[in-house]
Amino acid sequence: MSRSTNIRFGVVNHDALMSNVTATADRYGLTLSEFIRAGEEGSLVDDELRDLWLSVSAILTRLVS
Amino acid sequence: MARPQLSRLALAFAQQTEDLLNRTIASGAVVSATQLGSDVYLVAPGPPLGEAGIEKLTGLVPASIDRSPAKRTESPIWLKIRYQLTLDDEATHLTTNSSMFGWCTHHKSARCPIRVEYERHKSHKPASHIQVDGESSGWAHGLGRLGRDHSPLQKLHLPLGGRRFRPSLEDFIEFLIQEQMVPGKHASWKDGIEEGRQRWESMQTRATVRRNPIDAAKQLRQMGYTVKKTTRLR
Repeated sequence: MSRSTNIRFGVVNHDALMSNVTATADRYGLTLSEFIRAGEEGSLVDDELRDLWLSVSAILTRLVS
Repeated sequence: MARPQLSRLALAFAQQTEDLLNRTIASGAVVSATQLGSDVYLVAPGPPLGEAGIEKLTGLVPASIDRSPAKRTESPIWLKIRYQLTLDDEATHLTTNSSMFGWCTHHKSARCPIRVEYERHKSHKPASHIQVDGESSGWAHGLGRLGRDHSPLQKLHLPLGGRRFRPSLEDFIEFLIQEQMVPGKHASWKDGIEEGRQRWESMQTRATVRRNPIDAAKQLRQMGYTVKKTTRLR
């Protein structure tokens, strides 16, 4: 069995997270709140935005609310 | 600070995912766990994310068993994998907020014509679904008969087994191997799939029982077991 020898573990900085998400949404012409709403509605079509939503939705909605 | 239980379980899950990949259709794959918040972890292929944020996350791993790292990066097919994990309501068991498995043809554009997705709290679409980027004359014909405008096939969210019985990563990898959609596989890939699948099915069965204890007890009694409710059962 192939097992890694090191634990791979990281912690995301929330300010950097918010900044990145806002910038990515902006590239698609969406505000942060529009991005969150579209994610919750399941209407995001672009793969990049969907990937982002699937990655950070739980923490994102909490940081914004 | 994340809860110790969540950290431990998320890291173990990352390790299991890494092992599965390296026993089936990948070599040298690294899967990491990144803490997004006190109760949320992101598990995906690639190095862990640090202070820079999430922009470096690709979640992509080459579907290649080549021993040469350089040759692996030339793989014609890549897999995109990511899990957003948390603890369940009892803060005891790992649960998935969302997950995605993609069969991808280009690692730079991350174009994934087949995506299996799960979103636990989704209400407008099936929580577990598959999206396929393709053309279908039958689909177009059906829309026309309904008087609807043409809509890409990939916008369909085809339902897949709901929360408890959705496909696992093992199912997805097995599908790719059986349909010859990856360039290679390890000789003992079936063992990796079966071990992972047994673990997944056991976990999902226990989760189903926790959410449906009356039905579970009824079935066990029918099978001759004695089941007694304690104060821990709801």
